[in-house]
Amino acid sequence: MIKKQKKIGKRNRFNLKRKRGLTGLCFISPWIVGFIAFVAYPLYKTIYMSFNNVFYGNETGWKYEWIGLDNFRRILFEDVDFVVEAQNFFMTTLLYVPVIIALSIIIAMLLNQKVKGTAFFRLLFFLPIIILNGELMKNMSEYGGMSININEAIVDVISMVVPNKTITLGIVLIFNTVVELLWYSAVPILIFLAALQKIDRSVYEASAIDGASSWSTFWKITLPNIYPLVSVVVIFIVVFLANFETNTINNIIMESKYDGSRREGYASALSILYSFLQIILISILYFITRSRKNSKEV
Amino acid sequence: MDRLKQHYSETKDFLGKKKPGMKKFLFGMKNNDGFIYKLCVYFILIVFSFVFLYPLIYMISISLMSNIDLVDNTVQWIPSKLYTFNYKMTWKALNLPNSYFTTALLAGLSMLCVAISSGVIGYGLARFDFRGKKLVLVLMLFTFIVPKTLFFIPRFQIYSALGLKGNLGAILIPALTGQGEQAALFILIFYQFFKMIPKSLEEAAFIDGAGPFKTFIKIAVPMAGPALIIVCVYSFSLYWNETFSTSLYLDGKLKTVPMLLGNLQNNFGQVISQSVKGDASVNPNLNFTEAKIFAGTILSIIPLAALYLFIQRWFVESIDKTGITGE
Repeated sequence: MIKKQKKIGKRNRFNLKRKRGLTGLCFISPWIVGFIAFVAYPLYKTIYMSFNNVFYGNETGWKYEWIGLDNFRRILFEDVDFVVEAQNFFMTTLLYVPVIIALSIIIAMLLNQKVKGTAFFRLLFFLPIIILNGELMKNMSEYGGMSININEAIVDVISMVVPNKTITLGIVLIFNTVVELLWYSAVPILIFLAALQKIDRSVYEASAIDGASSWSTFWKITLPNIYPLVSVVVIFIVVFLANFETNTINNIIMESKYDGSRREGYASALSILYSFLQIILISILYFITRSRKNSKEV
Repeated sequence: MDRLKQHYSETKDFLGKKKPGMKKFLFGMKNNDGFIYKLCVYFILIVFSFVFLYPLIYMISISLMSNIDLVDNTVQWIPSKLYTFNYKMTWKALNLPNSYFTTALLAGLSMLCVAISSGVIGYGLARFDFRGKKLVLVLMLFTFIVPKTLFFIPRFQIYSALGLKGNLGAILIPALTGQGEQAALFILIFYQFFKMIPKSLEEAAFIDGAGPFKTFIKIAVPMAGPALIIVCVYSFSLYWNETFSTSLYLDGKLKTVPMLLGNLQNNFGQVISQSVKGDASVNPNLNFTEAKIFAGTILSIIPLAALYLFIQRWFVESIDKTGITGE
């Protein structure tokens, strides 16, 4: 009798668990449908197309002609545009990511100070989250909005302070890059700021009582606390930079689709190579910045 | 002599009294509350914000200049007189205010779809255990990481086959199924947030006889305010600024402000030839220059900037509450 009851209880519990699992699946079913329709099938189609020459006729519809690895061979060994741009993208991203992270940590720490008026600065630095788009960035950079060398008054002031001409040019160059990177680092600032605000104030107080200087407080308390987020930010920035409208690789892929000698097959092969490049970049940067604590657990 | 000595000791006393106060004022009690420290913080912040704001200031200043001011070397920052012709013409060229409404409609509807879908999916992932949950999370990360150009040709075919091409469906349906722009990020925000809600609340609702869907609507959604604000603000601006998928899938039937901005030069030429009788060689102000581009750019960002000023208080507040930083 007791045994039977136990059995029923077990079965009920099992059913309950299963029921909850099914409800969970119900909740995420839109995602599964979307994934199959808009990701899995397109992925298969893209890979298939990359091995084909694709034609489109109004009457015949889509036509595929199997050519094997020919598209990839053309991209990598015959045409130069993608290879050059891919190298550029790779190197600039590798250089930009650490600078963006450093800049955003510095600004987030400044915004986290208990100083009057930080609300205003916070408002300012979060602005690109809302208004940043490719056209804005393109117009700003193409017509001299981001370079101070167009403005003679400021260059005059700099060259007055620093008489050496190469240094002046260097400052002007750095300025251009930093302007661009500051516009990109709004979301990283937000993430780091949120992390900084989560650190318990009492930890700082305790370290101050023990006589820690602010320098060692930064290295021993602040940085370890926000460090796990660095790899999150890395992923975000690389994805952001790769998908941003000013990125020329996206333009190459888009234009290849309409190019008579290239068509969809070539463009698909391009986008596959580009995805590989991006995954490699992310994994390199991710493994460099991965926090030690996590790696031990894994 | 005595007076001098007295004066000396008075000064010494005065300095002695004043000095600690001065020191405290300058350097503070701890490392980081002195005057010099604050001065440094302000200084660095102001330098950064100058560097950051420089392009905007420059654009506003240039956009108010006539073409004659542009080539005049004596005019650097301040236009010789307030010149609004650029704004009037680009206002027409960007088809404003109609395109504001089009873009707001597109962004608003997409925002709704994104909020609903990512809320439901995030809740499902955070609250229920089922087989393959890890797989779903990994695949979600995959959809976030790969560039959007990877899928655009097959999606183009699918949308034309389903008859979605050229209407809002091509934007809304992927958003509704959690595959829109950066959808994984929004799902993750909700996922993090719903994970923080204590389990006992749900159990109480369950004991009272509420099913999982009722629990979701009656308990989880009302608590999700902060996450909802962030997702709504960010997705709205994301879809407002989007030009890649809108220009691809909408077939040019709906034109958003950023799309029109990308084609500003042609539109501007048309507007000039239609509305203003004059020759560009006679009236140099009719030429398309950076002043016009900057005026158009500023017109395109003004609604979002105004919106941001209006909602920034809740936005900044909810960042602290959502626990975006959990993972």
